[in-house]
Amino acid sequence: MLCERCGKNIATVHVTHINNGEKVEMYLCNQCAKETEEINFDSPISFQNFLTGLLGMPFGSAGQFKNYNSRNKILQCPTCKMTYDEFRNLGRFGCADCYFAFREQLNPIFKKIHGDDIHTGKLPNKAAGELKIKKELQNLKKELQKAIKMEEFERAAYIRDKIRALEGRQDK
Amino acid sequence: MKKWYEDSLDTDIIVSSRIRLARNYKKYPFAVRLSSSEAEKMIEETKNAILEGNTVISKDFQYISIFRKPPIDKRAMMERHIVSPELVKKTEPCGVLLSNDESISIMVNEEDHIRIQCIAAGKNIEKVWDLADKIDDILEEKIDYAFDEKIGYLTSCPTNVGTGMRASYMIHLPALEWSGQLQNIFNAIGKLGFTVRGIYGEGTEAEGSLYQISNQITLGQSEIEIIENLNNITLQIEEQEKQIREKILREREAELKDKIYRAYGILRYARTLSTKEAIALLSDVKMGFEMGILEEPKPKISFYEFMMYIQPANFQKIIGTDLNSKQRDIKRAEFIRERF
Ligand SMILES: [Zn+2]
Ligand SMILES: [Zn+2]
Repeated sequence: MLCERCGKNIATVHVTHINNGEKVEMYLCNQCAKETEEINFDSPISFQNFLTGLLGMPFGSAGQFKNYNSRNKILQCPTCKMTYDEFRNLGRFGCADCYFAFREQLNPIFKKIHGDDIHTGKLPNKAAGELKIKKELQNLKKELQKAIKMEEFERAAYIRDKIRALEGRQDK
Repeated sequence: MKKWYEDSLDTDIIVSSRIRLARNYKKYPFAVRLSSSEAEKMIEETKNAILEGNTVISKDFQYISIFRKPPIDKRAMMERHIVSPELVKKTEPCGVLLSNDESISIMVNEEDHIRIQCIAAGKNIEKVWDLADKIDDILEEKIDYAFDEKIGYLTSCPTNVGTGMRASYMIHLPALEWSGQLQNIFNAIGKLGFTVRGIYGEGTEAEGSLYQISNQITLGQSEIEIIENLNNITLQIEEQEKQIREKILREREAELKDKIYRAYGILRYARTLSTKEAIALLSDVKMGFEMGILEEPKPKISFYEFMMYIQPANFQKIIGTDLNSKQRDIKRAEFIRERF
């Protein structure tokens, strides 16, 4: 699809503007999206819509946006039957298992959206104790580096003791 | 019981703090694949997780079914940020578990099965995160969440995966808006993984110079890191707003004072006021008090409380729905006048 503003470049962004109370939707290329955004700052480009653009890029490198897996079978979630194509159009997963069915496709997308593909935040209390300790260690080590950098040595010593205690529990 | 925004201190550029957590059941399909009967079951389970049993919070909550509510009630709740525009539009079963003071709302069957939202007046994001974290723990005792070791909480949309958290401040930026410098700031923020928009979400206009700044990145950063980054960025914007206020006062003193006193005068004496006009004037008056320009007595309720009462649907809930828009404007002017 070509950009509705310049008619030259491929449209990659879906923009919604409110113009005098009326909703106007347009498909724009990156360049035009940037230019119209500068004029109309009350309604910044919708990130979710931008995402659909991102997922929908048909000529992704190394075939990572293709609807087939390496054995040339159609990519589909076994649980909810959503195909990768369908996900790409909706921008929404059908169920938790879609994440595993499309795993190979998703990692580069996560990197594009979030700049990362590993969760470092909260864990459910039900998550296995082992995993909790592993993650907590990761976080503590990060904190330790920070404390050392800031020359907060008392704090660093305190964190180091906590790390040792946790590592002791892990060995058992 | 008082609502969280009543009696709120009202002297700050940061108006409110909010945390939202997106969570889903492992056993149910996500929203786009969820049938109505599955949705009913899922809602029932979520209701029970909060309302039943002897959790400390069960007495503080009530469940409100949204999809059956009259449009004006839905809209009023949206104006008060209890529910999202997305939930209001839904025609499938959906609802919200709401705390008595309206500071905690748990939307059920929105884009995700569960969306925990906590809000507080002023700069209070850490407190609000603590609260959301606790509510999440209570739900998790009863619910098996869709969660993966590597990528965290699994959400309907890949933009929320990981922490599922959106941390945001509502900030009042009249001087930056007036100076025409907002766009530069918004562009810079975008590069840091944060976004700014009108207070009713994507694509909405900024009313009363109120903006909502929130994180876009949910994967690869912990909740605390996200909050720290949000704090750093917001602090800088707050600082810029203060500097520009002072610059305007130095360079265009008469013009600024005139604008603020006119706003005060109109709010105090006008006989008809539309929502839009009233909010713009209230915004000027808020800034006038914060800058120490206005020495008149302060209105009886805060700027944000005014915002909550005079929005179209909420105001109709106060004065009745049988009035036409001209009559409503008269009532609105009267409502404001009585509090000035
Ligand atoms: Zn173009
Ligand atoms: Zn699926």
